[in-house]
Amino acid sequence: MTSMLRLYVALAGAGLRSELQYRANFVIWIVTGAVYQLTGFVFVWVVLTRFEAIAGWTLGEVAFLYGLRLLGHGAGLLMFNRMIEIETLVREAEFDRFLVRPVPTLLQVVTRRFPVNALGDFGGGVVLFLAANSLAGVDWSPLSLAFLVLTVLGAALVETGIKLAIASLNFRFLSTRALVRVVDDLFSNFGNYPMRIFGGILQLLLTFALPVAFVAYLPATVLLARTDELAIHPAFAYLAPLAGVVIYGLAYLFWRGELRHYQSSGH
Amino acid sequence: MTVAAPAPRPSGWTARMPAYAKVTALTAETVFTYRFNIAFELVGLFLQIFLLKVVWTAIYADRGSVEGADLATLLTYLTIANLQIWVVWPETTWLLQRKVREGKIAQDLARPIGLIGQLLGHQFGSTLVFLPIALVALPVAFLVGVLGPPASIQAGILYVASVALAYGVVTWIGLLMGMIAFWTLETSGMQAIYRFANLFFAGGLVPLWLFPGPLRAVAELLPFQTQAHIPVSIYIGRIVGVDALRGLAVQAIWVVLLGLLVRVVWSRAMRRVVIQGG
Repeated sequence: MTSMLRLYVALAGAGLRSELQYRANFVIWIVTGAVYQLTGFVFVWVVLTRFEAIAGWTLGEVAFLYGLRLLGHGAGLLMFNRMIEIETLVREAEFDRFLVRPVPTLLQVVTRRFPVNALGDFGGGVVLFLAANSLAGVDWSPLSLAFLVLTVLGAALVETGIKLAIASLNFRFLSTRALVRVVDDLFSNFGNYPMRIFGGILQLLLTFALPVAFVAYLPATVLLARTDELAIHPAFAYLAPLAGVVIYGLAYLFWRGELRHYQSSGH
Repeated sequence: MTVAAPAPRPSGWTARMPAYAKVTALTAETVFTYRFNIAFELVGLFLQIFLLKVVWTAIYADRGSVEGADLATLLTYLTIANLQIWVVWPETTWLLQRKVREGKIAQDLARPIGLIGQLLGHQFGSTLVFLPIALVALPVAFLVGVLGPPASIQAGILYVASVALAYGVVTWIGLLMGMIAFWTLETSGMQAIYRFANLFFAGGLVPLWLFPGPLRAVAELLPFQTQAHIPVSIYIGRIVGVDALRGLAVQAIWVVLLGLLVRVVWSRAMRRVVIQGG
């Protein structure tokens, strides 16, 4: 486990150094990541300066939820972003070389290049979360801080678990980009709002069919003491960080199974 | 590299028409081969429209009318704005960037019709594919969002004129962004920022009349409002009569200004190409 971590740090560091060779682009990508995520928030801000609340959630509370999702999303991107490249690697048979090296395959893929724009996503999340925190007036204790850390890690695992599962499909189907985009859209558009506004069926779908709710909404109801508005048992909210472990674990098993179907197309 | 002497250019705009038409047709064919991507882009678009409907319905709660617009009017505005921003999109930016980066620009400059003309043909060709797709998608947009007929026949006619001007603005902006590649070789970051700034300041998320004062003032100084806010406001009958004509005038001014800017930047870019090739 520790040797794995050392490997990860070494490989990711090399990726970061190579990205730093192009300074201007480096900065532009960080800004892009932040702008992308914050446009959605500007929407919430403009709306709530006029309308006070969405489904009873104040500006501070929605911003808190938004910031929380961004932290998880940014953390996930920072650790595993390069998964999106698996499609190209498999299709062009570049994947071969990862299979013959003495380092775990997935580890090589995710550390291949450093995801610069994720620094913007994550940075935007930190700024928004800190600002929202003072507005929302959360009562922090060591326990709730621990819950926050677990939530962010869990959220990163939920998103990347889903991405890993989709990436695994590449070994048989060779093209999943469109699916990745739709799922990404669902997470980044629907994950930012108090899910009460979606009504019963959609809310259930966004919880159990695609686990969007586990990323931020469910944990946010815990931290904001709003679990009584949930349509499902509050235990789901308190155990939300575990969802990430379960989903990522299943996705990894799926990946291992599908990896056997790699055909090195074009060779 | 050596570039063959340019073929003599057919003189006169009309003489070159068949060439432009060919570029347009070829692009339409190319774009159509990416139809699965387009289908999923549409899914993304519909998700966005649907989300806006759900969120705005929750925001309005039981308010009847805010700033003179009821929920149905506001949702019609947002649905049309998002559809329109998707259809009327600059397709030349990435193409020009790729040509510059990969050095293909040398061949393209030697072709018998000018590069700007080729790019315009590409833009029209893309639109020829996207427009019918959007029309076919209208019933879905009606289901996920809210669509209604234009406020009046006059509003409908002015809307078409206004969209045409919006198309002019978008086309120039697309070229200008693509030309950035002559200096930076990379425009993807800029394009992403443009996408979000445009979506927001064109009124794709919040109608401009709900912007706080200072933000509204900024929005009115930027060209983005010409891409959705002005045409759509005409469509729903929020700006009528003299105000509608004033809106069209603002759009026309942007078309002219950006057109001039394209000329200036283009001539500078051409000087840069010579430097790079030397």
